[in-house]
Amino acid sequence: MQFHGVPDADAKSKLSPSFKGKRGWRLMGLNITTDGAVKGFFGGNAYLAILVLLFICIFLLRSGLGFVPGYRVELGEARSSGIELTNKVRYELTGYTAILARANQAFIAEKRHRFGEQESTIYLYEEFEALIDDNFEDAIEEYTDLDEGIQKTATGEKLRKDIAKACHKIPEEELLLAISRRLPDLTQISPEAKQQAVTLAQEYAINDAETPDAIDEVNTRINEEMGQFHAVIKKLKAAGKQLRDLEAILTKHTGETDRILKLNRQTSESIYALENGLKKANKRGDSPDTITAIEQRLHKTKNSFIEIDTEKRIQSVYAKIESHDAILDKLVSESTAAFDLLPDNIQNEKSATTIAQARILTDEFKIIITQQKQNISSWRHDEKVNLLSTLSAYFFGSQWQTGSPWQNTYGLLPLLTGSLLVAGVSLLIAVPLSIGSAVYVNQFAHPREAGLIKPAIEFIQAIPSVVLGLFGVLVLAGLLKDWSHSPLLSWIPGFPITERLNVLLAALLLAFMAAPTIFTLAEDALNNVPKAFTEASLAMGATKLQTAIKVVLPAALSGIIAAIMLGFGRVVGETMVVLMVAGNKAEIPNFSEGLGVIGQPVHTMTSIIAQEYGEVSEGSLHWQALFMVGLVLFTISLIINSTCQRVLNKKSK
Amino acid sequence: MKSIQTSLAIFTGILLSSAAHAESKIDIKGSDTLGAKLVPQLKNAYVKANPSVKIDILAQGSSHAFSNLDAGTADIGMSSRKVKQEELDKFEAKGKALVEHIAAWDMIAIIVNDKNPVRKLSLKQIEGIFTGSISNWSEVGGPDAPISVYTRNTSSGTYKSFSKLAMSKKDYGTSCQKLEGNQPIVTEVAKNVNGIGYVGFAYAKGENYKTVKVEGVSAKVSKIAKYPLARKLYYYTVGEPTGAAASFLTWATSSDAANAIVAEIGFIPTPVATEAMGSETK
Repeated sequence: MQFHGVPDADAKSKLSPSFKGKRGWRLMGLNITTDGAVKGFFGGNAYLAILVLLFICIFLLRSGLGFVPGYRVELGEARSSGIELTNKVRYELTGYTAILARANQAFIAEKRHRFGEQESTIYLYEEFEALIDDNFEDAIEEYTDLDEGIQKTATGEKLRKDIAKACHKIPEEELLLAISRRLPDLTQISPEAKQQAVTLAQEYAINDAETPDAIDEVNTRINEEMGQFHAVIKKLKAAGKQLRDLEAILTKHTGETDRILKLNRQTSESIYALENGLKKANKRGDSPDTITAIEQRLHKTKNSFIEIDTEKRIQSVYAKIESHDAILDKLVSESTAAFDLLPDNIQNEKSATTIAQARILTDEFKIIITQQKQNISSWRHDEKVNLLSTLSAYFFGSQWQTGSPWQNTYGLLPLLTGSLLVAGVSLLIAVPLSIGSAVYVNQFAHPREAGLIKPAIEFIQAIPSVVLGLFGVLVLAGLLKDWSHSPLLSWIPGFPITERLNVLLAALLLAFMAAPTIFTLAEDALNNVPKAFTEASLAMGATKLQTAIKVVLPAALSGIIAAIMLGFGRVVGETMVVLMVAGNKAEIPNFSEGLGVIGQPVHTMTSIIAQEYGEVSEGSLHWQALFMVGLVLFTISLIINSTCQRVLNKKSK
Repeated sequence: MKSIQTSLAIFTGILLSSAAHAESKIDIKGSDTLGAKLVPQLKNAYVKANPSVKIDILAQGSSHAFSNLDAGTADIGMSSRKVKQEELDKFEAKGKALVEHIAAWDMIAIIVNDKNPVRKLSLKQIEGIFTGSISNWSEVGGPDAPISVYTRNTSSGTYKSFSKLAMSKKDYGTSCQKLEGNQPIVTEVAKNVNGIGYVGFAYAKGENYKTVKVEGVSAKVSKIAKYPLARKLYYYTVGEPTGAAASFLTWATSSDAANAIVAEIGFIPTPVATEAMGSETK
């Protein structure tokens, strides 16, 4: 791609001489001379481009803007059916579940630390069970097919022996490796545990592949020995029961209301369509058969409305939610009481930190629920959803959940932050590289060297993005993850990376794609700095380096900024690479990790369109929502481009 | 003159061929699981062998199978579930009989990395993992490590069937990474020690990853009767099928060529499944 940042003042006069002397306006085709025809062809092309652009704008606006009223209706239904309220209760439940999960993790860590040797029986047994599944399926079938008798006993004996033999054949180190992944404190396998596991495995085979109850018993026994800690977990679990029940009841009740409301809306939509069709058919004078058929369908559709008393249904929701505050209070007091029961002598370090985290979460939960209580008591089903709240639900919504059996939510924020994060990080990588090389090529490189570097960098653009994506998924993702575990690189934020597909990987590949754009444009801008500047600087005794940094670079700054912005536009709009390597996790990145955020997977605006477009039916709300995303992308690009133009214009003045 | 002749020949050709098409046209409507890939490929193979048959496929979801059969706008309905009682009532009220044909079996395998020691999961644990309430492997008997969940994206039929079969129709957690197909899921799980994902049966075996047992049952064809994430896929017709529909159905459900296509796409052909069921009940 060639781009001239500043239109060369001489360029016009250099135009083909045959155009010279033929002044004045000519519309396409009106002039019969060859020159006129050529001009007309060029002009036509230029106007066509503008027409296409206009067409795209109108198409995007038309398809996307219908989303806002549509979403407003859907949000209104979610409110009047009570789904919105259920979501609030679900939010509380999520908070509680997180606390419980942390406590449970702490419990498991402590349990494994203290009773690892006993627990190893279970894991040894699982290894043996897998061994039996792989190798003894036929033998077990043969055994179970036999009738009771001497032969069966004998076969059973042989089976037991074979299994014991096979179990003991597994090298000790291999077993230990499999088990120590879960029990890091375990240094050797005790013969007793192994013997017990073998016996249990034999039992498994004889009982036609039924896991023996003894396995559960081992676990129960360890839990009991954990004493107080186990009681804490049990109490925590019990504390949430009422909230879970409330959520289940609300889900069932409000979900049903919502379902009926949606069905009725579909019915009225099809009635509208059918009535329109009937009118058109009458106008066209279609055959009476066709018209009767439409009338019949209309009649049938009208009958399929489902009677629903929303008012009565919502009143029962209000009745159910009355106990909400009491349930929450009880949950908090019971879980606080449970935490107080915790033994002081937690031995495992990991367990201690995790349980401390659970406690902090509980404190945060307490603050959240005071707000929640107020939220829920002031909630009204008949409050109208206004335009502003619809827009903010879209632009500031933190969840993008589609294809949901419960409620589709279209929140742009996870996608927008994902897109911007990926683009930002990739610019951080691409800008120094490409500007640096542009300065080098333009100011320092030998012409022959420049002749090698420039085409090479520009050639990068020729690589199809799918190829880059594949390279990312199959090669770079693994390398990056391995490198991130090397102690030499541990200073980089976000390292070591746990997810293979992440922001950094996407950003690296995108930087590679944006670099040629930025390089070419920046190099052009540097080229356009008048020679006199450089010569004057050198004449004053400045070195080449000083001239480059203090004279040429500032003079080309606006062109360079424009180059960077166009690079940004290129990166934000890129689809294939991010779709393949960014991980597609539609969640707002966790910025509390600071710069470590670059190790997380994200979803972006471009990839959501690519990913979900195949599923949606034309004209549906989901379809419109995707167009809205497209519209936002388009607006971003438009802003970037027009700012670029302005920056450049300013400079040329 | 010559051009008139040619165009005349083309015209009669079109007339003839459309007449032939009109003679045996089969409308197949319903499930997306079947209609997205399997039935179109079956159609291609069938039409190649029987060029006089025209088959139209419309895949909008299983419930459309029954409404279209009822309205007479479909000859064959595709469904990824059994007919509901209320749907059946409608047919019975009109004195029509709905006939069920098993199209194929479907099994969704849960896969984890080879290095992951977890070998079995209960349905409740699977639900917890995919809804996001379980986020550490230690909670399901694995090592102390975060879980990376890989799922299909929302346009996949399996995305929805999995939510139905394994997640009691709950929403996927927001921490799921949505990938483009079975192969990307396999790639990620094979390369991420902490990964978990689900794939169609055809992808259940491979290097560096393994399937886990669900409720103590492994994802093997021989265990299809007991495996919780297995289901039957159906064709439905009003009354015993006749004419072109009948011959297509017989071919699609029993011929070797059709079974090969079924297996290739990742479903389990009925004969294979019934044989496994037979040995199970012995």
